[in-house]
This record gives sequence, C-alpha cells and structure tokens, in this order.
Amino acid sequence: MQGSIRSSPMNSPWEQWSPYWWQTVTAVPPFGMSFESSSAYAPPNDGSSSQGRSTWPPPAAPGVNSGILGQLGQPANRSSGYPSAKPTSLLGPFLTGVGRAPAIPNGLQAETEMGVSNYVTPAQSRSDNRAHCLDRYVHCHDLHSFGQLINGKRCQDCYNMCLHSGIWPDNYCPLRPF
Amino acid sequence: MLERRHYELLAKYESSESIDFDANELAIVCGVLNLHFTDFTEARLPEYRNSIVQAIHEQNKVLTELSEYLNLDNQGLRVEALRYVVQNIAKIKSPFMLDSIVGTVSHRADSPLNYGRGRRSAVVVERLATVDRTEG
Repeated sequence: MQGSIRSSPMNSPWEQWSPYWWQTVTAVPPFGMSFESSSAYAPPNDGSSSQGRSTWPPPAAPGVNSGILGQLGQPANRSSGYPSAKPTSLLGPFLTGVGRAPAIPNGLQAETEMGVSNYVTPAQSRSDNRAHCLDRYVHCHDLHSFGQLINGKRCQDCYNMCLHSGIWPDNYCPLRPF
Repeated sequence: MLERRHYELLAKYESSESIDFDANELAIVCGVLNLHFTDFTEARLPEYRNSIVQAIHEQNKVLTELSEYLNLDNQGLRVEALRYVVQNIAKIKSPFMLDSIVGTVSHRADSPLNYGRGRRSAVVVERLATVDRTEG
C-alpha cells in the first residue's frame, strides 16, 4: 500500500465521482425529504441520482412518479440500461411502517432484474452492498443529518458511492461527529 | 481526533483537480494515512497522489469490512460489537482509520445526544431481520 505507484489518481473507485460535482447542482434536497418528518431514516435514492452524471436516468417530472418511486420507474429502454421497477413505493412503506417488510425485498428484486437485463455493476453486486451501505448511511444520517460533509458530500452521496463500489467513503462521510 | 481540515485535504488530494505542490500539505496527508515518505519533491507529486488515492481506497475498504461492528451494534449486541473491534484492531493502520473507527464506536445508537435514535433502532432492527429472511 505504502509508496506504491498507480497510473493515475483517478483510478479510484470514486472515479466517476468528481468531488466537485455537487457544486453544479442545486442544494435542494432531491426527494423533498424533511428531517422533521418520519423520512429522517429513509434510504436515499439507490444510486440512480442523476445529479451531474448523464449516465444515470434523470428524475421524473414533478408529480409524476417523482422521488425514489419515480427514479426507479424510469423506462427500461434508456441508454443506461436501467430496468423499470414495479410501480410500488419503496419509500412509503419504509417510512410509514405500513407494509414495511416488502421495502427491501422490492429493492432486491429490482437488482435481480438488473442482472437479467445484463446490467453490469462496478461492484460485485449492488444488492450485496445494500445492507452494509444502508447501515452506514443510517449511521451517517444520525450524525450529520442532511448537512454537507467533506467537499460538499452528503450522506446520501456516500450511500450511492457505497452502492456502486461496496466501500463506504469514510474520507468524505466520516462516521463521527465533527 | 482528526479535524475537518484533514478530511478536506484528503479529498483535495484524491480529487482529479490539478493541485500545486505543497510539501506541508503532503506531510499532513501522508501522516494521516501513515504513508512513509520522508521528503517531498515537486517532480514526484503524481507519485504521491497515486499513493494517497490508493491508500484512501484500501483503508476505506478495510473500514467498510469492519462494518460488521455496526451490524452487531444495531442488533443490540454491544459487547460483542466491541469485542469484534478488539479482535480486528490490528487492521487499523493509520490515524485516518483510527479516527473513523473511534468515531463509529463512540457513536452510541441509544445516546440521548443523538436525536431520533430510538425510532431508528426499531427501523434498523426490523430491516435487518427482513434482509436476513430474504437472503437467508
């Protein structure tokens, strides 16, 4: 590890994540999440945030399958290869506790569909990453809420990075209070 | 404990932005990551950055692997969680890693200082149980 040479600093798993991408987008919470509501512990968008990256499907139009539901429900024939998801809300059950149990299985099913459609994830499996990434996201959110962390990252950004790479970026979202 | 400026430096040297050579900054970053460069020359800046990026990646990876601590802690197995950290303490190789793991361990899920934790615990416990049922 120490002193070894790599070809480029951009060969990190965060290669697709410019630490400055956030500066190009608005500071509006992407899913209208309010900390005062029970959404405080909602998992963020499952890596499909389109902020600053054209390879991800853009958010749905407001009022039309917006939020997590809308993003998961994007047409499957987009160039990103993202599959369509069942039009069931992941966010609602998770937050309200009503029918909470299906929330994770639905997400896992979506991952299975990705595999069927030959979607190749950078990491071994986004499903495999989900559990531990979600743990850390919850932890991060407990500590930092929706605040900006290192280089403008927020917990949900780190969650998305974790989903992709399987590695929580502690250098951007330290799991300790500042 | 590390300060925010240390993390900002890590992010700076990991980014794709071009940066000016600064031996003092490099010394701080390499110290945080426990990289043993004794002196710094401008010509070797790319090498330093490569090593920094790789170290951050590898150390983050180990820290993520240690998230088993969180799994145990979220299940209310506090002592077992701490024992897990003790058993794996040798994996902590740098101030950066130590800072991260100490912060994680010291953040008590049920601390009254941490708002909303009670509600979170119930959610997490149920979610973990759901995942276990699904994947088991």
